[in-house]
Amino acid sequence: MKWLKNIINRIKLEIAYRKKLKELRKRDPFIYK
Amino acid sequence: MAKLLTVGDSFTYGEELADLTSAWPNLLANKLKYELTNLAKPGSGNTRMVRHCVEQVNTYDIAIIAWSHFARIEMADENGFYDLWPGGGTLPHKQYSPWRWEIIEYFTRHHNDDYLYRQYLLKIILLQNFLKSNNKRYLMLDSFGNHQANQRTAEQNKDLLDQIDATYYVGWPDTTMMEWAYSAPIGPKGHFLGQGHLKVAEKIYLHMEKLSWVS
Repeated sequence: MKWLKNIINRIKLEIAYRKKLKELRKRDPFIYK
Repeated sequence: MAKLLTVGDSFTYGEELADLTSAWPNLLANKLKYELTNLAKPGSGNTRMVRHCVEQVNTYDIAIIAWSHFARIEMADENGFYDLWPGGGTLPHKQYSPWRWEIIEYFTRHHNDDYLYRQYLLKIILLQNFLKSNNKRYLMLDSFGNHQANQRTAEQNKDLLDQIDATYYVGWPDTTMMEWAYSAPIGPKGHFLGQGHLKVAEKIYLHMEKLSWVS
């Protein structure tokens, strides 16, 4: 079951990262090409 | 003719304007009859601005530093300088330096906002003292966002905030260009257009008048 917990943790971390990224892109939303 | 150096990000560069000569540095230089060198660059970080002010010190009489968001910094690798910030960077990196995106992702995951904000304050203090010691006239201002950090963390950063000379800081600590140009139309990427640039130039001009720099 350890492998399952690892996967769940990774998913949780990824969700937290995506949430953080969304907030960061709101405060500096300027994109340059 | 006095020589004016401006450094900044896309707002000082004139991003989204049909004609870059309508950007506020040009409007201001024309009004004052100064010779302009505008080294602003879309996506510029604040480290780059300090570097230019120091490297170019013998080429200008007056410098205007339009800081970008406090978290933007400059890095360099074998392909040269580049700017990045938590959550982003300039897109051309993808084509010729794809590894830069690994650093941007790491930086996004693990940056420390308190540290980055204090680094921004240190840049202001050190550059103000550098320009004073070189007998250069200068003005500073912010493009966007930093006023919120100023208010949110005023107590914990009092030691540095107290060292900033507000006399030469337009709008400090409560407003940025975005507030001055609030009612002006903005482009699809979020930059104010011609009317906003007129407002920014006017705000800086009025500050110069207050300092009796305008005859």
